[in-house]
Amino acid sequence: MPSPTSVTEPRTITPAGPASTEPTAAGTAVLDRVAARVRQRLEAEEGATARVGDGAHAASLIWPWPL
Amino acid sequence: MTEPEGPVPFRTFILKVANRCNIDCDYCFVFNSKDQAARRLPARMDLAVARAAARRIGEHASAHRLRTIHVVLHGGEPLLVGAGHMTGLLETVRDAAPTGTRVLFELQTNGTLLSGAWLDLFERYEVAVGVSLDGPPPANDRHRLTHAGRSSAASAVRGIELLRSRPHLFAGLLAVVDLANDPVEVHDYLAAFEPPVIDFGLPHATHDDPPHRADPSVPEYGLWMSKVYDAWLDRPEYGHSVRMLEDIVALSSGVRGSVETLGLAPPTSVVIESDGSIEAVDTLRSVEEGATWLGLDVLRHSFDEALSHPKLLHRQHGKDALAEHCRACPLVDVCGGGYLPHRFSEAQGYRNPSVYCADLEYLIRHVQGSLRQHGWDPYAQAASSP
Repeated sequence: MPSPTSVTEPRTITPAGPASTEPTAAGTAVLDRVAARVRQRLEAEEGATARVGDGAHAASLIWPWPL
Repeated sequence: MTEPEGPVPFRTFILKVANRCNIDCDYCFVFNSKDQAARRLPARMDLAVARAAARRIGEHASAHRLRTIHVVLHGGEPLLVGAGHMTGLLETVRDAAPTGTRVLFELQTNGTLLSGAWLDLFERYEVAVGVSLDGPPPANDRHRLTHAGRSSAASAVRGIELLRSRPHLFAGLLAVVDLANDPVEVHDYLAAFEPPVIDFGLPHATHDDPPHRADPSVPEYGLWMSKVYDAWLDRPEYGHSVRMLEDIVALSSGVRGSVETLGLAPPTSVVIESDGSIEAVDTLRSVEEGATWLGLDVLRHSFDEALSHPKLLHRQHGKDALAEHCRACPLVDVCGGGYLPHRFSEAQGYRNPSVYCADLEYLIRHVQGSLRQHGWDPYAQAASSP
């Protein structure tokens, strides 16, 4: 059964984020790939004539962004 | 409240082609949640309903000059309709699309019924297939059991292995978070199937029925997902994306469109039930009986009528529709106030912070902290690339 307690208020968490990973070559390689896709998404949105809507249904694996 | 510019057209049409399932996941928002409508709906969408839906989809695509639309074959378990019937459904929708509109088919399955014959059919109609799996067998078995209480893991894995033989059809893997599972083990197990995308869903919960927590003073779901983030960055050899995490990165970088669980962009998905009803996003079945009900159907109503339905219209208002607490939060452009079902309480409707507010804050700050440490600038890479 779910816990009877609900968390509705954010806690004070330092802006740096707790236990963030140190930069690594592996992390940089993953983030470089992500950066390429983020650039494409930004450019697609800048070029869009219509308002941007959300892109994906949470309960299925639509991925309308370029991979 | 600021009036929106006008509703954004639907671009994703979720067809509930089957309203039965061959397994019995205890967290299922369709069958084991607040709203039990699925049990009363037709077991499968018949072709007359599909024809009406396809005509309405075509009409909507034409009216809004949509160059691409997504049609998601969803359930229940969509493969229960049988290959012959599925062929009819696909053909019906494809043939009704106007010239100049590309239909991208996706299907979300538990994977247990996948076969070579199914994949041949998906090949013909270019259907991308996503499979739901929560991790290694002991993790998956916590919730995803058969009606007889047996593990579904081996048959799901067999289906995924089959799908891997046609990588162009493999959309990815979708898992639901359970704090009892090890996040790194789950991530690495799923990544080893080499899906292009993995995504994680937080268990559906509301303020009246909050998520399980071992220690309510700790943002456990945020911690869990931040460990997945670290594992993702540790495994460049797999090359996959993690949708929720990549969307947090994208939204933090100024992108506006994202998975519907995050961000402030207006939603563009609509559900067509097996009886032809047009409904709000299906995960709202976890909220209360009738939460998805609009009183519209594809036989009598257009999707434009659904766009202006009061139950959906408020979602076009972005930040203005959120709780005051969320509107003032510096992270609101990324979390978007959290996923709609997770904000619900009987007392205040959807004007609450998410039940995962603290978790989302923890995770977003973790990801943003990591981006800073890695000197993140999506355009820096472009400038240095040949």
